[in-house]
Amino acid sequence: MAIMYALKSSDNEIFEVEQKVIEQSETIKKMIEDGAATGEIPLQVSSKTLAKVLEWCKQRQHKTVENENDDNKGKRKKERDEDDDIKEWENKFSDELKADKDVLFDLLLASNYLDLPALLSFLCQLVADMVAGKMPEEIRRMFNIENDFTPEEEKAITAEHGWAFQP
Amino acid sequence: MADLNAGKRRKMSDIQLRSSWSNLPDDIICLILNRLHYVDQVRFRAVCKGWRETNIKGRVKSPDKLPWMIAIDSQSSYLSSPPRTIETQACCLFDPLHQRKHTIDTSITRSGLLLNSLVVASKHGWILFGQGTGVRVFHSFFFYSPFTDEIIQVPKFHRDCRNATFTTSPVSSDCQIFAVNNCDRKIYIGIYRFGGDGSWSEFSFDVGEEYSATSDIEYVDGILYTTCFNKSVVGAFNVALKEWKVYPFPASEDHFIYCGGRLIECNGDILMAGTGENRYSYREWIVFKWDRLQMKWLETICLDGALFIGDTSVFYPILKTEEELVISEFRNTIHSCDFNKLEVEITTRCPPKLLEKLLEIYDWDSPYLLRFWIQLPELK
Repeated sequence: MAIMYALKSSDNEIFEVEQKVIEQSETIKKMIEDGAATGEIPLQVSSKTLAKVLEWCKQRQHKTVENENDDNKGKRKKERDEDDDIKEWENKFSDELKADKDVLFDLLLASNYLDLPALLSFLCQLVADMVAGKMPEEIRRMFNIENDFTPEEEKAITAEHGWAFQP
Repeated sequence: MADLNAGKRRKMSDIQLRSSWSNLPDDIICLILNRLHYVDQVRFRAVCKGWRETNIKGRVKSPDKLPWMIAIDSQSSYLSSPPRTIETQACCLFDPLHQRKHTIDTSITRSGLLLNSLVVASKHGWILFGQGTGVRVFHSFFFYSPFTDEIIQVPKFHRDCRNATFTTSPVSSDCQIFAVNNCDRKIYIGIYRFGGDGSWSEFSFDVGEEYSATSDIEYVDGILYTTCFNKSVVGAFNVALKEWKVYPFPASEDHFIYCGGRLIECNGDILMAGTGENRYSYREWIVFKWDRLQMKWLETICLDGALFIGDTSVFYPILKTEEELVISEFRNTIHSCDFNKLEVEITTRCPPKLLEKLLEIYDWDSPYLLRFWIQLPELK
C-alpha cells in the first residue's frame, strides 16, 4: 500500500499524492524527513499550478517505475517506444504552456520553490527555445513585459552590441 | 498562530502583486541564459531592467563551443593591393553554430587605426593589434573588441617589439601585456599591468648564441613561453621569480619537423603545434604538450578538443560525452589558415566531410583579407 500525503495549495485545495511522486520535490522530501509533514502539507502554490506540477511528477514517476521493472531482454525497443511516448507527452505539455504564459510563469516559480530540478530545467529550456532568434521587442510582446528603459538607456544598450540588434 | 498565518497571507499577496515576467528570480534568469547562444543572451539582457540587472557574474558559462571568426576588409598596407577605399571596408563576425554573418560598423576601419597594424594576439573577445612600420616591428599596441566596438590604447613601451600577448580581458585590472624583442644577444621582456602605475617594467637576459629571433609567445599560469624556431629552443620566463630558462624543442619519433613553434594555451597547459613530414613524405600537424614535472615535451596523439591555428590560435575542449553532433565531430581535429596570403589556405587534421562543413560555417568564400579566430567575450 503506497503511502499518501495531502498537499494543500495556497487557495486551500487538497491534493492526495503518493509519497514516491511527491518526493521528487527536494523541498517536500525535506519537510517529510524533518517530520514537519504531519497531516496536510501547506504549499505556497496555487491549485491550478500545483495540478500542473503533479501532472509532470506523475509522468516522470511512471517513467522511472517502468524502467526499474524492465529486464534487459527487449529493453532497447521498449525504451525507444517509451522515449517516443515521453517526447509526445512533453510536446503536448510544452504547447499548453506556450499558449498560457501565466501558467508557464507560475510553474517556473513553483518548480524553483519546490526544488524540482528536472522540471525547472525543462521549463528554462522551453523559455530559451521561445526567445531564441527574437529581438527584445518581440520578446517583450510575447511575455507582456513593459520596456522600462529610458530611451537613453535603450540607446546605450543597443549601441554597445549594435550588430546583435540588426535583423 | 493567527498572526503567523496573517503574515503568510500578506507575503503571498506581495508575491502575486510582483509576479510578472520582468521579475524572474536571478537563478531562473541564469538557467535560461545558460541555454542561449551569445546573440540571444545579448538580446535577452536588453529586454527589461529586471533581466539586465541580474548579477550573472560567474553564474553564466560561455556558450562558446567553437570559436567565432572575424574578417576585416582593411586597407592595411601589408595586405591590400590596390588599397581599398574607405567605403568598401567592412568588418564581419561569423557565428559558426548559427552559421550567421554579422556586419559590424567598426570604428577601427573608419579611424584608419588599421593602417600599419597587425593582429598579435586575441583572447576573451579582445584583439591586441601591434602598430609599426617595418615587417612585424611594433612601436605601439592597442586593444579592440569587435563585439562592443571598443578601443583601448596601451601606453607606449620605449622599445620596439616583435611579439606580444596578454593574460585576460583588458577591462580587468589584473590584465597584463607582455612584449618581447631580441637584439645584441639579449632578450628583452616588457610587462605592462593595467591595474599598476601606468608604466612598463622591463627585464633583459643574456641569451648568447643559444637563442635568437622569437617566433611565437604565450602566457600560461605565471610563465611566459617563447619559441625560437631557428635555434630549436623554447624560452620560459617565470614572471614571479623573474627567471629565464631555455629548453630544447620537442622531437618526434615519426616526423621530421620542418615548421613549428605555435604556442597555444590548453586548460592551463601549454601546447606547441607544428607541421612535420612523416616517412611517406606526407605533411601533417603534430602537437606537443609541455610536461612540467618531467620538464619535457610529450607528443599528443589525441586532442581532447579542437585546435584552431592562425594569426590567433585557440584550443576548444570538447568532451567525449558531448551530445551536440556538430561539436562532437570537432574532437581531436586541427584547423589552421594562413591569412597573410591572399587566398586562404587551410590545413586540417580532420575528415574531408568536416572540412566542407568548416568552409561552410565560416563563410570562407567572402573576399576578406584579414581573418582570424576569436573567442566570445564574457557576457556583461
